Amino acid sequence: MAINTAKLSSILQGFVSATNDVQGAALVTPDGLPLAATLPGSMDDERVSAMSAAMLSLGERIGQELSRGGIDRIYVEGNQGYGILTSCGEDAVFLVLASEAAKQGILMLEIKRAVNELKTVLV
Amino acid sequence: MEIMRLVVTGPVGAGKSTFIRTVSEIEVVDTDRSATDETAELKKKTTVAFDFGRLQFGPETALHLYGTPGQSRFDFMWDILIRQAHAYVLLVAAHRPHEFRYARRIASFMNQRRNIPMIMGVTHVDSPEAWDPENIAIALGYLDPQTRPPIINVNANEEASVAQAIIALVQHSMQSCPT
Amino acid sequence: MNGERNFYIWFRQGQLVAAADRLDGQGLLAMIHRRGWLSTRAATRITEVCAVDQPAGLCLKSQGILDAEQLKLLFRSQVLQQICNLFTIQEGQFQFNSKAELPNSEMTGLSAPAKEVTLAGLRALQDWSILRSKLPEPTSGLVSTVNHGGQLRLSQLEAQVWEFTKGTVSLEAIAQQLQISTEKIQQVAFRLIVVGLAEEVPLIVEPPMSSFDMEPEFLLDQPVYVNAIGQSDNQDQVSQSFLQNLVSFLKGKA
Repeated sequence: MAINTAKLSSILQGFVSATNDVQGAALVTPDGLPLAATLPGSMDDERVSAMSAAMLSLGERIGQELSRGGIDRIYVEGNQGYGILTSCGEDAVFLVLASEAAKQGILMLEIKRAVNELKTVLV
Repeated sequence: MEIMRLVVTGPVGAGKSTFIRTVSEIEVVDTDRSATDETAELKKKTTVAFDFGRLQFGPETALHLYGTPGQSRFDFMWDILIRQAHAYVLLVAAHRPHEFRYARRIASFMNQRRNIPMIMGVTHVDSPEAWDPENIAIALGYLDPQTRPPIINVNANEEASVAQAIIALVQHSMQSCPT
Repeated sequence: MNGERNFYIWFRQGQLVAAADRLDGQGLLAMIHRRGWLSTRAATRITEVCAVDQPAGLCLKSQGILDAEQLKLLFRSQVLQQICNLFTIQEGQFQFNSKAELPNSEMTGLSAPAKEVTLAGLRALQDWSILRSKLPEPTSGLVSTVNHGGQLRLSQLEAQVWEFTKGTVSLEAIAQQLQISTEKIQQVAFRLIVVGLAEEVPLIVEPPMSSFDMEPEFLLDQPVYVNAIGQSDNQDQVSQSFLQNLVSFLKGKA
């Protein structure tokens, strides 16, 4: 049951180009390997994937130990933009990089939609 | 509270997580995920951020142990962890010679960032394919016995053995301390 | 086993004295024969009268059959060929026999330090496919492990790369500066590493932080990637009494 990576890539590309203020996106395995990525040129897929996995695992651990329950989303807000990690089923994590101009509500909605679409390819 | 922070590093499958789990008195904070890379041939789970264990040995004194991920794609975690460390142990599996050079690469990464005491812990010494610690040291580039770090055999599953290794590291730190 | 081959290298007091891919003692004489300097038969007859512990090469020289230059040539190709072959093997095992007898019939009488031979073998290597995964990363830098590279004779390119062993410049950047392919620079770096002159240090990609307005404390906390080994540590030290207590505590568990 090979994963259709071409399909994943095209969903990511579609998401990045169609969503305002989104600068990049990546789908990674929970142990930090890229499944598909559309990232700004200066960023290394493998590194971004590893960082996403580390961040998510720490977030989940915090959720557990500090009684926050299961983690849906990890949110990094910097003065130049956002990094949002969303779990995408058991086997993948979805990272979205957006500029500071992004409208959060719309962004969340678009991410939710993309996650649903990605999940259909992953199963 | 006086705290000493030790980092446990080394290639994938050297026994870092086990080492910490064996000696920690608290349930280890781990960040294991199912391995999907070549690591999966060695073991099911792999550390993606860090392992954390603790030994409290006085009302105001504790030893904190941090285990790093093994794969170099997590080298930003190596960087974060080593910067806080007082000393570190490099675990090397004696029966996987093809990883020796990689182990050395981890050590030089650490040494370039921090000048702190380190020892080399050799695991899996009972394997029929195990290399002699002396030869592992040479393979890792520690040619001069005078200047190389202390080398100790470790069974990461045995508390006594892990305690011995930490003693070796702490004693090495005592020698390195400015008195 | 399929395609299993054996290679033999002989050392005397840490110096390499002979190499062969056979144990019948005929390797050197076959080489002499191939070059048309002497038939194997004639050479065997002559070496039969040599002193038992005399290297065949020396014996032939003392008989006036080969000169010093020819011996050098033989040694070079004998050793280089075998060593170079070793670097193209995908899987192998080695055994070290400290009691092996010296193969006088394979010896020219010349010897070379292992490091020099390794260096020469890697210089001559054309096919790097087997070693590709062992090469240092293009994004890594090099630091020297000795004070000066003087013990070994370096090629011009090796010496140029050696100038960058301060752990601050990535191999890619060295390649760019010297206008040589990154792969070539990786190979040169590998040679310097293998013979113990330098070692690879991963340089972390520094996050771009241009437009962040940072507090001075934050700046202090920023990792200093370019510092060489032995940067001073302003870390809080643990006290000697702490360490002593820890040791006695652990001794209870050990």
